[in-house]
Amino acid sequence: MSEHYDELIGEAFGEFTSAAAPSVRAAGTAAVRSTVAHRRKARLMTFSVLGALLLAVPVTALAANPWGNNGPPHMAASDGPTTPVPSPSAEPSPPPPRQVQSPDGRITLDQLTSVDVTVPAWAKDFARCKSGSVRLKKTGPAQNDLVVNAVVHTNLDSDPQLETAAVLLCLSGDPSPEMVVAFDRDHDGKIVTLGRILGGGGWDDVDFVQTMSARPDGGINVRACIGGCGSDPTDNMYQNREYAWDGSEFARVK
Amino acid sequence: MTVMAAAATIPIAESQRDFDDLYAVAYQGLTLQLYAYLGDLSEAQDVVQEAFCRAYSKWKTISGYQEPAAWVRRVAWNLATSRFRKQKVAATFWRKQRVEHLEGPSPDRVALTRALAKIPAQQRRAVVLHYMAQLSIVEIAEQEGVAEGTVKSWLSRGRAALGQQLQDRKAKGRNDV
Repeated sequence: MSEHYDELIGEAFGEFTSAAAPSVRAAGTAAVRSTVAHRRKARLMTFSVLGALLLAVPVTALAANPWGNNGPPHMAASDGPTTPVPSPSAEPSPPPPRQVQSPDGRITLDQLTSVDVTVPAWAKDFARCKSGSVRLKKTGPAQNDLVVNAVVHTNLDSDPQLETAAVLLCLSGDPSPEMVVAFDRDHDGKIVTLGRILGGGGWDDVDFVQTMSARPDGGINVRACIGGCGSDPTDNMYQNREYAWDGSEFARVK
Repeated sequence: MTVMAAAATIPIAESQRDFDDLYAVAYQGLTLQLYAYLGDLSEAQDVVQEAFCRAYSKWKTISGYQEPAAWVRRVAWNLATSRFRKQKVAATFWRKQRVEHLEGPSPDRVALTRALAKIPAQQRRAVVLHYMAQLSIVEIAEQEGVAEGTVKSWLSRGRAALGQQLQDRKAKGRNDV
């Protein structure tokens, strides 16, 4: 019976191939190159913006402090304040802060989920996931809400104070994308978003972060699933990656 | 003292040609495999194109692998499996099988996709990889990250379920004539 089935199935697949092959349309290698170039450009822009923001913060703070011998504080309204500001760059510079010590950017899970924070946009395929001003959840939300899966306190910029990296999970079905976002505090103690570190559902990005920890020298270690991960862990490919502030931008360093 | 080793680099133009060659050789076959698995040609084309995009973005590394085609196939199948698990795609799959049954241009293609739709996803993967991709049990086990015995079991059950359906369909066709 098995041999008979073998023949029957082989025949059916042969007929299927003959019937379907003429319908297959290849987009071509030019389309592959164009897609990859576009993604690289988009990723470079993301890192450039984040890098510029992180660089601008200590520089602005240093300018506000004529002695320049205190820790460079973070200025508010550089990006992603807890309530959206339409054009932060167009706003006049705030008066020099009286307190020049860098604010403590260590934010607990409770604190992170008790106010609205700014979440960067997700990739096009996951545009249904919430972004902009969002109240993050601790657990068990409705579809497309964002859950904080992990919080790590580590140095994410050039000042000695610690900031917060958080893994945000969007429960949008299978797969559910994740994004690692950097948070800090401004001088008023409000949580500000520094930007996306990795993730967000892009095709060329990680599928999900399995673990995240603080790097001893600043930045984060992540173990991430890549290459189209399914729910079966034996089916997946993992990579250990490190992201850190390299002096000019926040980038993958390993 | 730093000793610089002579790097065995592949010229860029040659590396690009290698990628183009791989695409030309593998795209159609892989797309057909995933069409059989997903039941949706457009989805299969997207998944395979995406796998090639991922390969191209890491081509410097992947071109050094012994079998770059196996890497692309594995990623494409991972993407397909991941997409198939989305409830929406799975629902579409079943709906498409019904629609195709009514309107499809090729009875042979319809018979196979309908029969494949009725067997569990793991068995369907094993059957498609074995009969269409011509992979051995060892190769399927490697790709799926499971023991060879598991693949044998999937293949045996999948073959029996699929064979029975195709046979019934054939008998019904004869009776209808």
